[in-house]
Formats: sequence, C-alpha cells, structure tokens
Amino acid sequence: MTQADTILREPADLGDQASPARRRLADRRWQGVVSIAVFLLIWQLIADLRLVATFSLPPFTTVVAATYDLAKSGLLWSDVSVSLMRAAIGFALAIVVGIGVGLAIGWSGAASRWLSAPMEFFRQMPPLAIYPVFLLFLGLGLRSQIAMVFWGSVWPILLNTINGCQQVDTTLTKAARSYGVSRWQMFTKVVLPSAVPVISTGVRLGGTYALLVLVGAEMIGAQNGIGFLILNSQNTLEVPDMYAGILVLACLGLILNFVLLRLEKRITRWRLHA
Amino acid sequence: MIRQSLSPQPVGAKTETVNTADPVPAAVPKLSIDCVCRTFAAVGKQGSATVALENVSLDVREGEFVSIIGPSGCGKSTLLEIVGGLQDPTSGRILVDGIPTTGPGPERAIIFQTYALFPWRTVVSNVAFPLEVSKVPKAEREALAAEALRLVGLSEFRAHYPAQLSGGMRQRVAIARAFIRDPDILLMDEPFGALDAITRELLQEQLSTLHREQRKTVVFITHSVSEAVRLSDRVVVLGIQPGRVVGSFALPRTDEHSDLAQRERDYSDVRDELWNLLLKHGNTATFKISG
Repeated sequence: MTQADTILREPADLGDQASPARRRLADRRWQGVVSIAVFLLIWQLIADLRLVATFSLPPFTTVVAATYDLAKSGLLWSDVSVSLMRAAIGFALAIVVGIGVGLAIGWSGAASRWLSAPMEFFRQMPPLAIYPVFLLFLGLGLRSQIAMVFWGSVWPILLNTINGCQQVDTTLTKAARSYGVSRWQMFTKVVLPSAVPVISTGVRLGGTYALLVLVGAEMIGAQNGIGFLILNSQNTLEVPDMYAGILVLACLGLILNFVLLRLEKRITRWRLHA
Repeated sequence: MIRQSLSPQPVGAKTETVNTADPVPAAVPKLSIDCVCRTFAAVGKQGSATVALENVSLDVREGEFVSIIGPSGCGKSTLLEIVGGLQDPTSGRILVDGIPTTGPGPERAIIFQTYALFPWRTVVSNVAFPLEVSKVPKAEREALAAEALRLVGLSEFRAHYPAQLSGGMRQRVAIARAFIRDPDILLMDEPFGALDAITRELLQEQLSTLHREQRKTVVFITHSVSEAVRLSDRVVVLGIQPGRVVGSFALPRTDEHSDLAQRERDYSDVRDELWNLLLKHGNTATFKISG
C-alpha cells in the first residue's frame, strides 16, 4: 500500500479495513434496534435509580411483566380484539366511502368546486369534539364508536382521492387526448392510475387516525378495549397495566403502518423506491 | 442553390420558399396551416387579451422536414398543439390533405419534450396505448408494439418501467408510441431539449434516418439553430408578440452537392441568416450558442 493509496481513500469509506462490528453499526436497521435498546435502558435506569417516583414510572421490566400477566389471563387479547374489531369496521367503511365518493367528486369538476368549502370545514372538526353528536344519534355502544372511527379516518382518504384525481400531470392528459381518449378512458386509464399513490397515502393517514380516534372514544364511552384498559388502569391505580396498554397500542400502530406501507409499495412498484 | 427570404413577410402572406431543384410540388400540401390566430382572453384584472399567434400560415409538403424556430414565448408550442388538435385556433384552420381537421387524429402524432410516458405502465404497455384506446385486439396490439420497439432498438426493455430508463431511451419509447398508428405527420415539440449533448446527437441521427426511411412529414420545434439546420429541409422563423412567421429558409439537400466545402458554406449562410433574424425578433438571452 503506497502513501498515495492511503491519501486517496475517502475518510468515510469503511471498506474492507473496518471491523465487522463497525460495519454493522452503519446499517440502518441496526441503528434502529440499537437506539430503541438504548432508550429502554435509560428508562430502566431512571426507574431503578428512583429518579422519578416508581409509582408514576415503573421500570420497563415491570411493565413487560404486567403485559405478560395480562396476556396470560386473556384480558389483553379480549381488549385488543374488540378494539381491532371496532377500528377495522370503521376504517373499512372509511376506505369504501372515502374512495368511492372521492372518485365520484373527482370525476365531476362541478361537484368538487361546490363541495370543497363544506368539506374543508367538516374536516377541521376534531372527532373527539363531535363525539357527543354521535352519542346523541347513535347512543353509547358499538355504533357510535364505529361512527367515530369512520369520521376520523374518512377525511384524509376522501380529500386525498379528490386531490389525486385533480392533480394529474397535464402533459400526460395532453398525450392521452392526442390519441383520442373518451372521457371515461381518460378517467380509468390516466386519472385513476395517476391518483393511486396519493390515495394510498391518504389511506395510510386514515389508518393512523382510526387508531387515534378509537382510543379516545373508548376512554370516554366504552367498557372494554385498549383505550378503556389504559384509562381504567390509571383510575384503579394499576399503573403497570396502564403502561402495558400504551405499549401494546404503540406496537399495534407500528404494525398497522408497516402493513399499509408495504401495501403501498407493492401498488406503486413503478416508482422505483430508493 | 438556396433561395431565402431576408425580410419579414407581410402579415398573412404565405412564406413557402421553393428550392429550384425541386420537382413540381403536389397540388395539395400534406399539411396546411391556414391563417391561424390564437388569442388568450384576459385573465382577471389583466389589461388586454394576449395574442399568442397572428395569421400564421405554412404549407408543408409530404415527406418534408420543417423546423420551427423562435424565441421563448413566441407561441411555437401553442402552434404545435393547434396543429395536433389539442387546442382550437381562435380563427383559421388546419388542413391535412386538403381536409380541415376537427381535433386530434391518428394521422398526426405528437412527441413532447418531457416524453409524456405513463410511469405506471411498462414500456411495451406505453407503446401499445394508442391502440388500446382505439380498441385494437390484443394480439394485434402486441405484434405492432413489438415491431415499433424493434424500430427504435428497445426490444429488450419491453418489460421495464420508464423510471428505469435514461432520458434518451424514454424519448425513443415515446417515438415508438408515436409511430405505432403509422401517422403521416409527426409533430415534435423540442423532443431532444431535455437530453445531454451526446444523446441528442445520436437521436438526431436516428430521427434523420427514420424520417428518410419512413418518409414521414415532420414539423419540428427547436431552440437550437444548429439542430434545425442539421435536420430540416426548411426552417421557419417565428417572431414574438405577436407570434407570426418572419422568415423561411430552404436548406440544400445533401445529395445535391458533391463539394463538401460548398455545402458547408451554404449551411453557414443559412445559419447566419437565421441568427440575424432571431436576434432581430427575439430575446437573445434565450438562445443556446451551439451553431
């Protein structure tokens, strides 16, 4: 190895010289795992060293144990399953209505012009704030919870669908027109495929809101479910159970987002994700 | 021998220039742009309407390669879209084989600067798109698409997506798609403008070859004087505000002159004339110095 070779080598290039351990640290997934592990370690230390009252922040290990106990007793699964059921129904409804109505409005130029102002208005209303309206109409129980989830998740889907239909690249529509497409052909062969990435982003956003809204609704007006578990645990001073619920909720959110993201990438294979 | 018009033509006059060695032109030009005007209405509080094109007239013979050159904003793209049927002129008309057109048609194909390929479709699916729109049966579509891809040399990339191709390859796919319904007239809007110099030269060569072999009539918009001089039988200059024809130059046929030096002199004469006209009528900052 000459002097010149050493000078020319990029400082950031680990190359074959670096140890396997150092190379692994540069891998993004490992970085994710390591950083979470460090965070958990800090949590454990803060709790064990009693820097914060153990009552308010039990150690991570205690929370894990509580989660395990809940799982073993079947309580965890009964809460999770009922929450998932409510969220799934509301979300599925939001997808069907959001995309269906969105496409219809996107197809009709006049409809989107007239409806855009009221839609923007309704979308701004926080779902939890109008929960009482749902309670009035649908009473306490499954129907109002599903309605809440629907309301919370339909808006990003609906608005993204309309947006996607309206923001097609004009060069593409010009090219299509030069080949003599009918209005229907333009919509199905150009507008729709072009809108798919925007729509699927809206669906992913809707999924996030669905879980969010559901937990809130369960805290206010339900007798079971993860939201109920979290709030009830706090009320009955079962603090580790409360954190267990939060942990499980966070994991559910991650899984849902991951699944929707994978779906989105499959549908938009043509975009060549970096 | 070159005949050229040096001064701006009076408004409304046709500016066809005839090369003395030409055979007698056919009675009906392949493409005729007849006194086309295009005015855009005033928007909002803007003072007056914009006159994009004023009394533009041009006859193009079958098999002729005509370049339209002019400063930015002179209405070249608008003119091409009107010829292609994507816009209606405010007055005037477009005639193909003597028959007025109403909108786009299979005899005219447009090629855009940004390729206009559908990114969600594979190469072969893009190329077959016009046939799909015309409801041609699948087997026939596939055969014709394969042939078009062979023409531009991209057969092995049929299953790729546009995002996986370089700019030059994407434009070749666009050309294949334009050729698939066997149009008589090709309308090209700065097709090589987005490409690097080497790719541009290669594609210019390929276009030249295709034009000669397939005997298409081509209307070619460009910013580049040298590109126009290199590819065309005739170069038409459009002025700005309003857009109207200010000059037309025929170029010597390459097979006529055995004397290379003479040919070079003729070409540079035309180039000089073109530059003079462009400087006179446009904004010099918009031109590439590639002549």
